[in-house]
Amino acid sequence: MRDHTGSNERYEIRITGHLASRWAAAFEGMTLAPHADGTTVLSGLIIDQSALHALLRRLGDLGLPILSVRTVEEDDRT
Amino acid sequence: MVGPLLSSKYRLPVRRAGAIPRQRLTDRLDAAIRGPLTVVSAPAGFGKTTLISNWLGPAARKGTRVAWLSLDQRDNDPALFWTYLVTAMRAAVPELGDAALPLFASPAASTGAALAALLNEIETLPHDLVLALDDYHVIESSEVHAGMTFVLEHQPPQLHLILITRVDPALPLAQLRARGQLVELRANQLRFTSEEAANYLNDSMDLRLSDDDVAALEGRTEGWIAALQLAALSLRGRTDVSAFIAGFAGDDQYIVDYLAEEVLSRQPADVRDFLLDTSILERLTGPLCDAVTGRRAGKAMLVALERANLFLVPLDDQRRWYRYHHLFADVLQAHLLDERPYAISQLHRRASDWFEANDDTLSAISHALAGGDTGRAADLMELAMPRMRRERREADLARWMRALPDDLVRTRPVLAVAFVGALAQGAKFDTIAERLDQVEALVRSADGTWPEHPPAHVVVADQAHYRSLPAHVAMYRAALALASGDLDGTIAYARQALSLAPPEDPLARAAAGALAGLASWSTGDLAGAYAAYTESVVGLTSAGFRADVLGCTITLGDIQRTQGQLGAAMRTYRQALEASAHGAEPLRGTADMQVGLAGVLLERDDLAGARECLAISQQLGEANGLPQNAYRWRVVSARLRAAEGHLDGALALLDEAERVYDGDFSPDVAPVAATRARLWIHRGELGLAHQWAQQRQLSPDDSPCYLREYEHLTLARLLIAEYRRNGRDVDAALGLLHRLLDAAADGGRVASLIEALLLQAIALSIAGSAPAALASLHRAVTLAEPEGYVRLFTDEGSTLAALLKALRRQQSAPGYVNRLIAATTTIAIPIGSAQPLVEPLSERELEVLRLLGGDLGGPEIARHLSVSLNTVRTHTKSIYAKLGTTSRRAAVHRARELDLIPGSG
Repeated sequence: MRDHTGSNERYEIRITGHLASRWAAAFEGMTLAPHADGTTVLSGLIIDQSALHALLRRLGDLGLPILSVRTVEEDDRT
Repeated sequence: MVGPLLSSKYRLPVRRAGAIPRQRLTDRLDAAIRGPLTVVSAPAGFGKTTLISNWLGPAARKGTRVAWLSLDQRDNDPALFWTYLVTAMRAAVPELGDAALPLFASPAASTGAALAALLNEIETLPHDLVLALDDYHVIESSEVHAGMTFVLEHQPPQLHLILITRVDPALPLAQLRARGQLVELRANQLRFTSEEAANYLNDSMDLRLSDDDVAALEGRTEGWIAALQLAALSLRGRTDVSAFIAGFAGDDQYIVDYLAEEVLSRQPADVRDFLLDTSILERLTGPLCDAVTGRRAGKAMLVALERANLFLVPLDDQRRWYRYHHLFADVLQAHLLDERPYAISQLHRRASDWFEANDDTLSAISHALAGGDTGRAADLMELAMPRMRRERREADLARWMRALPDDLVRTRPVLAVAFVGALAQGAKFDTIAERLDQVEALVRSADGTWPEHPPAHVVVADQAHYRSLPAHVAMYRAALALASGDLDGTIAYARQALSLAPPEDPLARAAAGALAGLASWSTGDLAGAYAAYTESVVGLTSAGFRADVLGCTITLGDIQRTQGQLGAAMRTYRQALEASAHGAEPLRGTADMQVGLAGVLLERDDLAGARECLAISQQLGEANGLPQNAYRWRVVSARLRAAEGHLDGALALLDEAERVYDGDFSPDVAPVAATRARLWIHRGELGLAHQWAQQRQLSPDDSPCYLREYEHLTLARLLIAEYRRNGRDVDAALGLLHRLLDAAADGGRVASLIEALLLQAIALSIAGSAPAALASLHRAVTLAEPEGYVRLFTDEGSTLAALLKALRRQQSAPGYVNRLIAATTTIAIPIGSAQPLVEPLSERELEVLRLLGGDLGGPEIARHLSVSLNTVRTHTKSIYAKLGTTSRRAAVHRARELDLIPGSG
């Protein structure tokens, strides 16, 4: 059974703009992947909903427009 | 305060040079300010603060007072939030908040009462008041949101709110929007138009860009002001302007990053280091920067940075405190984290040291935690704990508890027990036992003794509190026992705590005394309870907790009254009032003392005196009452109304009392529902009273216990009334009363004893045992006379009046009995005694019936009652019907049989 409480899941968050790799340290544990369409995908394990909200809020504080947020299975990582 | 109030938080931000005029927005604001609420909601860097603060500048707002408050994370503590909010208002309107501010600061006052006081004050202002709250998005506390919602719902027309926020606030915005009472400025309105961008780049920044370059910049930044500012900084002194713009416009990189990188790379190394090092600070001032960077001339650097427009925002006119623009600080921190991650903990440590040396413990703790130095944070917390608890900074405490690892707390007994205290204060009992076990296992020696000095393996920052540790552990075990209903355990632990409390810790004595008192009281040991509460009062008095002294006094008065010491209770209330009369403001709890006095006066049948005390209590208002007062005032008022003969009004007050009931941890020894059942019995509504007794699972076979004594005495009344109505067996009532009498006598509860004796006298009299009835009554009168009880007797109706008359014949000095008889015959009748009727008579009908028993004719009765003759006839018809009679004579005769009106003798 898949856990849908959103705890310790792998998330992918797509934002507008390319984010330099130095920001990886600021978003603890997330990897940053720039895409050719001018977006960046942040991906990594997020321990719970509260951590997810904190991350989204931090992106908002930086003025980074959020395009999508989704969870991914371990085997269909992009 | 743990850390001083920062005046920079409630000062209107310094007007920024170079800000362009934004007529289209200020026009909207000019219109908006006539309404209650304006919300400015957009991400960082949209010029929200600049727009509002420039527009609020004094010249722009003639005749209107302007209050400003910049919020930060800590303002999630409701006490701190409201204190700052009122202080900000006072900076604009000095006479405001005189009544409200002490209420917000008082640990025991409710926020609702304090807010109501504040809004009332605003309502009397002759001018408008604008309150702008900046960075409202940091507020996550639902308590603060609830308070703000209360303000919006009760907003005086003089008050206009402006909320500046990055995310929409958790307030009922949809409702306000639907009512047309909300004006919103959002990112789309705030972003620079092409015209504003050109204006800014070419006029303010003097960059002389071509139209195409301006359009390219505006397009790439989408009018985001922070990005345009960074772009302008990057362009300064550049010769290849168009090429730079083209390069940047064609790049996908995060715009702020791209531009900040440009700006940073063009700074000299020392400036760049300074920016990165100080990016960990929420607020900057010269000496703090020096401490963090390890260099000098921080103040000069700040001045230079501001002059160079490097996103430094001055927080005061003297240029003492600054902060970085949020967005810029984020970029700087990202650089710091990337380039020198190892330096960060040391930077925080230096900041923490500086704040500690400058008496701002909360900031010192924040930096210790941010730097990962939990040991230091724990030391600082331990030392700050007594003040934090006193000021009820529960939100901060909860955050601290989450921030520290359990392993660390486990080695620190003083801090661990202080956390237990915070948990107990918030009634969160589930982990307390385990935490106390851990502390005892850690500290106590193998032989069970508490070492005089901390053993080597434990960490103690606050040595003075280590000495109180054994007493505190016992005290919280008592609190835990009480919460689980274990009264004997409570008393045992509380006594232990009292014997362990060191003399320099009066609060531990007070708390242990109160716990022991509460438990003793609940078991009916009044003498033990009285002694324990007195101990508590002594402790609280010497610790200066005057409002809490009044809280204990309510209980002391209750105990004395139950012991049948009306005079002593009266003195207790009066002395407490005198002792609390020294301050300028009435102390919280004075309203409760007046209600106590009213109760005693009512018992002595001084209705006018009781009425006056209740009125004074009401005038003092909710804000001067402790939590129990709302219901207690209504119960005593209900008893007064009943004594005046207004049973409907009395019942309505009791219903209200039940709704607002707050026992404030005291045992409910006289439940409101039982008082209501007494009134029903009085009115003859025995069915309702019977239902109550069933719901409460009361039985005449119950063995007496103090917590149910009042209910059992009520049940005895019900049984007697039922016996009168249908002649059922009275033995059950007599048996119950007999046991109640013995229990009350054993426990020294003289008031209960008198009441039980009166009921016994009535029951015996109805059962035909006149001599035994008189003996009981004689005992009751003997006990009641020295304290001047009257109401207990008058409430019992005419059977008792007849018994008293019989008693008078036996007595040599019947002064007191005469008084009781007079009171009984003049007052008891209009109230109506137990009516054994299917359909009880109304109060008006009883009045008419009483007059029918006299010599007056119909027209005279009408004149006497100031009603028409027809009305009297209607009442008379109804009375005949209810009594099942057809004539005046028969009706009067039947009414006398039924004890509805006094006999003719």
